[in-house]
Amino acid sequence: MKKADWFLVISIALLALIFTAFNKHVFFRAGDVTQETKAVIKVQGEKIKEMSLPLKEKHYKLEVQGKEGIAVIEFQDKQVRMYESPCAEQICVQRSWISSPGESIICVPNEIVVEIESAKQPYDAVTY
Amino acid sequence: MNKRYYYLITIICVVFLVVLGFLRFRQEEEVTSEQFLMDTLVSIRVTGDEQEKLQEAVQKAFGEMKRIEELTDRFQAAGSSSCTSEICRVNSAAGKQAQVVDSDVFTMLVLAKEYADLSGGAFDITIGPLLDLWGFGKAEQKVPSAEDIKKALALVDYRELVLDDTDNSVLLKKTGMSLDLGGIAKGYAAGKALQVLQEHGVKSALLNAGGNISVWGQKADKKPWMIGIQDPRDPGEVIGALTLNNESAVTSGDYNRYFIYKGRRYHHIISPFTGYPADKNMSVTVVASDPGIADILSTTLFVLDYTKGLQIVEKLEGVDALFVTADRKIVISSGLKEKFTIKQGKDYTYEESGLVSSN
Repeated sequence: MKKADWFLVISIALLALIFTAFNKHVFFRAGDVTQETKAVIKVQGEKIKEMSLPLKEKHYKLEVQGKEGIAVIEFQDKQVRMYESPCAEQICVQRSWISSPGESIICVPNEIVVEIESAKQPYDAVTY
Repeated sequence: MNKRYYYLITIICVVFLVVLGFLRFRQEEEVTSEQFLMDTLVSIRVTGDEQEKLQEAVQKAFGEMKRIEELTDRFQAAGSSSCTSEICRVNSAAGKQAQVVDSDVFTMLVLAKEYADLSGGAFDITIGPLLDLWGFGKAEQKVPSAEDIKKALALVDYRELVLDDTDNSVLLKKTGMSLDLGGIAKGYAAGKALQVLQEHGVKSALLNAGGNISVWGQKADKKPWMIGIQDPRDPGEVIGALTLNNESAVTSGDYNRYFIYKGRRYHHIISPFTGYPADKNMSVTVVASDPGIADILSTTLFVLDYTKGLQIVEKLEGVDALFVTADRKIVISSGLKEKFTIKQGKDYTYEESGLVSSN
């Protein structure tokens, strides 16, 4: 092999190495740039629906069957709230609109969770 | 072109594939799972070597929390005719006879009494009669009459709770007294769950029990755990962040559970001193290595004025607190100076503990 061939082989190898070492970071960065925000709806620990925010419709109501009964989740622009819930204390309805990544509405008796997720969440968790 | 050239390229490719595969294999697995437990949503995220082991660890940890819940639940479960938990047994025998209880329940009661003593009664697990009167945990809440509150307050006194460690027996001295472990059970259960996760060899764990956060081990990216503290008047914002390391952060706030009566808001943390919702703070966050202690102290400090609260915290080893006071002051104890970063300054005034030297 010629000197130039060796050069080519080594450069390819080096490039591959660098890419392998950094690809995780590269992909993560790429994910951050799009910053897609979505509302994730879970019933009894199972994810049942994901909605990208803002929705195409300006206003949208979604009926979800929970443990105790049917809950109505309302979407408006970038915001989500529990519009109606069959539970006794109505804590989830009082929680009102949520829109920032990491925020959530939790209805304990009806076992429904609505969470705002985004690739870029600055904290591992929030204490409240 | 030279044949050897192709061989070389092939070899290099194969080597890289093998190395890449190996790296993949070595990469940490992660498991996240959620369950509704202890009247809240509990989520556990763990990392480790094997997916199956992690799944098992998480399920066992949930099982442990479920066990504590069943031991301490004060209300009868839906569908059952009576309440049969250890706590119910003690409550229905109040004023009559001592009951032998499970060792975990006994441990919780001993802890609770210790912190009741330490705080001069700011933490009191005999608060059951008051909570019943206000109706928290039930379908209907109301503002009780002053007279009823006075009557219930007469039944709230941790000194009338007798604990005998020779046989783990428990007695409430007066008829009508009742225990409520709401200020300790969740944290204690979190501690038990963390222990289970560690015994199962997880490399890191993040446990979130309805905003009570515990972290253990090192994250996959080796960065420190960052835990936001919710702004008590804007749930979409944080007032700042904590950097934690094998610690728990537990917050008690006036915004989580409340009802509105005649235009006024009444929240669920009732002061054992006054019988009314505590009004000194909007929220108190406690950082401690033990989630049980953090849970107890967040409730304790919430009912106290922050100056008194700081005095308690500064005396305790490895415990720190952040107060958001009713008059919008954010105050931190001395140990949080390195762990806390303030973010939301405009609605609040911020001060680091001025009491450090006085203790």
